[in-house]
Amino acid sequence: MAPSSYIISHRERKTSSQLSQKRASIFDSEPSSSKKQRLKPLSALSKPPVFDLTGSQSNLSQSSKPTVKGKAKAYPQALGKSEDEDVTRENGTLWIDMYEPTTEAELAVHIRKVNDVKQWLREAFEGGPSGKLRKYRKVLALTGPAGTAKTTTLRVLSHELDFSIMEWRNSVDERFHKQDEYDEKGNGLEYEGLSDKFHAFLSRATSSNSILSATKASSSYSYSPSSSQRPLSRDQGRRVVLLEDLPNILHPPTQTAFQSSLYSAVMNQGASFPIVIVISDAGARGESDSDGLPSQTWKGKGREVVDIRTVLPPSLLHSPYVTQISFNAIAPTLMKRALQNIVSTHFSTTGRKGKCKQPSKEVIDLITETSNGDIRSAIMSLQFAYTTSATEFPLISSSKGAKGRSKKSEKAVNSRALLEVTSRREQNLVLFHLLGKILYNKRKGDLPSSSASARDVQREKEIDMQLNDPPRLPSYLSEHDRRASRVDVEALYSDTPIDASLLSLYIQQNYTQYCNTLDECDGVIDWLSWVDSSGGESWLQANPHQFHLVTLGTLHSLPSPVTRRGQKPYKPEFFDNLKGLREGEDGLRDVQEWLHRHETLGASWTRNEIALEMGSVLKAYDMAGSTSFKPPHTHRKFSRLEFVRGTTTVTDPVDDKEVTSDLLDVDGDGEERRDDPEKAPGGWLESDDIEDW
Amino acid sequence: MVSSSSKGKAPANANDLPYELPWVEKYRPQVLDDIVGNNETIERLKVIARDGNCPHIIISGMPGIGKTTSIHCLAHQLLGDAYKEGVLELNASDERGIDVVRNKIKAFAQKKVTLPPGRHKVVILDEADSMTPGAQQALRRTMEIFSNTTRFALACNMSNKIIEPIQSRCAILRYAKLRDAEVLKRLLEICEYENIKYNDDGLTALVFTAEGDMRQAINNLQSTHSGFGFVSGDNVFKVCDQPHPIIVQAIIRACTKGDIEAAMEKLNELWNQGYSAVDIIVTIFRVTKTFDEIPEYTKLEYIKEIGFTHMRILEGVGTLIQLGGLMARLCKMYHKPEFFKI
Repeated sequence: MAPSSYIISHRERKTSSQLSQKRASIFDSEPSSSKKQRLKPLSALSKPPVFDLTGSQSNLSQSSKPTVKGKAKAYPQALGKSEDEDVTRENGTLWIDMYEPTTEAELAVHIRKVNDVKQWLREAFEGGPSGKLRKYRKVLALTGPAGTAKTTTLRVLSHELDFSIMEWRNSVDERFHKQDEYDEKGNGLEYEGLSDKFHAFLSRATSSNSILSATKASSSYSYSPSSSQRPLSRDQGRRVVLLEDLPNILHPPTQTAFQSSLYSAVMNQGASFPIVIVISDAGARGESDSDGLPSQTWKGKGREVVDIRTVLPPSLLHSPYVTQISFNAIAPTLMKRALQNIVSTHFSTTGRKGKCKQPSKEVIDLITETSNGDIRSAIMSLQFAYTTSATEFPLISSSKGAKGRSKKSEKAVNSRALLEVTSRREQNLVLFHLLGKILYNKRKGDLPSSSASARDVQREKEIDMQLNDPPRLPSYLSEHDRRASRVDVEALYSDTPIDASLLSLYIQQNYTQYCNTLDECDGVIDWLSWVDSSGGESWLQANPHQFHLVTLGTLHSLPSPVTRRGQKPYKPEFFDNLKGLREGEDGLRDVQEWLHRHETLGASWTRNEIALEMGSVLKAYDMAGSTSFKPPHTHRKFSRLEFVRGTTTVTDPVDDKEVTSDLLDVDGDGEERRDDPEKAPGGWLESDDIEDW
Repeated sequence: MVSSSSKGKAPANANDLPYELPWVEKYRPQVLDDIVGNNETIERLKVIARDGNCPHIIISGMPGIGKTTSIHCLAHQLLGDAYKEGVLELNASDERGIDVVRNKIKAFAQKKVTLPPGRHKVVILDEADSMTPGAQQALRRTMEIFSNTTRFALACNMSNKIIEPIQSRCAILRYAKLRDAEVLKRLLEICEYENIKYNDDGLTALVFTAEGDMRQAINNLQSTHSGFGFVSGDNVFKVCDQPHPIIVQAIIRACTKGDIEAAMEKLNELWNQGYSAVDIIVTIFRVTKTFDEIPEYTKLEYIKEIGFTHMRILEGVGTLIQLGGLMARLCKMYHKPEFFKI
């Protein structure tokens, strides 16, 4: 990419988006009512007593401006962007905002996903080839793990397809403000709950069209980068309602209110604007509730998560009006390219090139590796590790540069250590180091591996010197005699980034590669299961010494030395299975609801019966391609079981675990593998694909 | 650069105060340089404190390793005199429901505070893992919208209790447990400032009981000092109300020799001193895991039994009989399995 053109477009975009952000946040503070400066359609909509534009200009000076830099500075920036201000701004901005992509080419999202979204938006605006699709393009749900550019994709497309985005923001409660702020016009107001506001916002935002676009609305609340500078768009009606800052879905009454507002907005025939809902999956990587794994709180307490099922009302979920496009974690190659771009841009602007250490390719690889497909977090780590001051630039950056260079020349290990510090998420490098330490089971007197450097050999010798030979065990236990271990369990314990149950999950996924005989496998798994079974489901009852037991037990059972055969640590498949399990459960729930709606089919099905008996029927219908009989398509999650990996069929490859979902013992790793009657005959042949876990 | 260093440590007028401050407060580091341990991370925070433009951060780790202190130091060094108006701190004792996130935090984020370029207002959320998922969800967009004026610093014990969208928006720093040497160094410093009389045994005992928790180590040091005037091993264990590891070591040694009588005698001694079953089992574990007189296999089996007993005790059966049973099981391992066949 040509750096110069990129930079320019980037600056322009930045200023404008900052401006629009500024405006947006002003609106947001609207209930304090002294801040009206210009027509504010967004907040006006969210709050009925709206078209009150008086008494606002005079208060302008006292209005709480959202940015530190204030207006005076912001406007010049919009007009002429001097290098100076660029630097200042850069100094106060997060890289994720600063280097937000502006064109489709810069997006690190798979091109097909972007096209899917684009296609949908086109159909929503133009109605597709026949012009009839428009009716069915009411709600687009973008789901996927956090930091996979869901919102960014929409913003980029808004630029490209030329539409504006109207976003709902939970506003500040005016009651709260009345206490300390003078509210001259809110006096006679009845309190309006957030749900009501939301309802009003939604119904007006989706339907009322002309006033807003006629009054140059697009500039004020749009996120789309260039809209503030753009003359009114050709088709001014093009607008999308973005719901990201959702009301508190976890509170059942709010949820109900939210869902009914949404439902009525969609069902309103006059509604002309599509709604885009952005939902970040929680726990898709098993991070957010990894300690919920053994106890599976998600099951007991109902769903404490925000996902598409809790956001959308069931009546909409499977209606033709809703399309779900689910984003995947960002692929390493794409992420690497994006990071590289950011780095080259960042270090070439403001003439910092050469004066400041620039992250090496190795570092970028590391960040990519550790970020686990979360590009936002990757950029955050990058910024945290390489942030430099631009204002104090001559002094600091040269000293920093020197420091950086010496650091670099010292050893590359340093950057690694730095990254370990910045990005210690659960599934990351440190964890794999930890695993390696445990699974390679080095003991006193081990011959150094062929690849070890002289220094490593020396270090190992030093460690050996400090290790005392353990006393011998009595003869009847002699098979348990081991040489002293080089692994310091205590040190591992204090450095470990994860809790014991997650560690045992990882060991379970990986131990087989390191064992030579069945007996050794038996030993490891025996200890793992002992740890797992001792203690109940809640943390209160859990064995407090799990970590030591897992580590020591594994070390004890593994062969010594471990044969090196290029073992690679893998992520537990548990998380994917858990996800599959949840999907299967959801499928069951959907089918159950569907059966309830169709009385003739018999409403008294229990989940068990559906899972065990209905599945094959559904599958048969599905295969036959029957059209008269339309169960929710999610039934495939449990009725069609495919064991093939890596295929790109419509249904994701799923495992059998999810079928028996609600029969399952919460913690039973083994039990989840229960066989199921309606398994596809072909599936048996490939069932080897399911690793033991 | 360090504006707050004037506050310094060891205030000179400490002796004038009628009531002594808790040493944890008195010796709480005021600048990042004084923070012990986790050097890499602290180095990084220092650069940020100097250069500004702090990203959102989450600091996670065990209690008493300096999470909150680092954030405070960082905020002080970033904002200097503007600390008062530029920082909003909320911890678990404050109400932090959705309302607060929506109103208080947002209002703060919108507040105008004049700060030098590159500096931002800071919202400190201590013990963020105790926030409800709903409140965290509400926080998520706020963090993004106001990121050009306000940065968030979260401290928590378990970073996985923070919902993923927030984790994704933050640089996550994980603090490791403090090493014994690091705790010891700090204790020695304090001993010097306060003119404490101590012996090595006493400091070892403090480090042993603290298990990497600096706060506890300092608290115990202060209580021992004010209670006995001299920090010795015995005094520390008296103050901390923990069974003396020497006795526990004797118990384990007896078990490895299969000497149930001796083990029970020592155990009874501890029991009669009034220690609870949890105190005793925890100390047994701590001693066992670092006890190098036993082979690996024995250690493993011992920890297994100890863990099992610990669990039972936590479930509510904190009786002497459980501990006695543990002793018997530990001793049994000494004897040949054939002896137990009928």
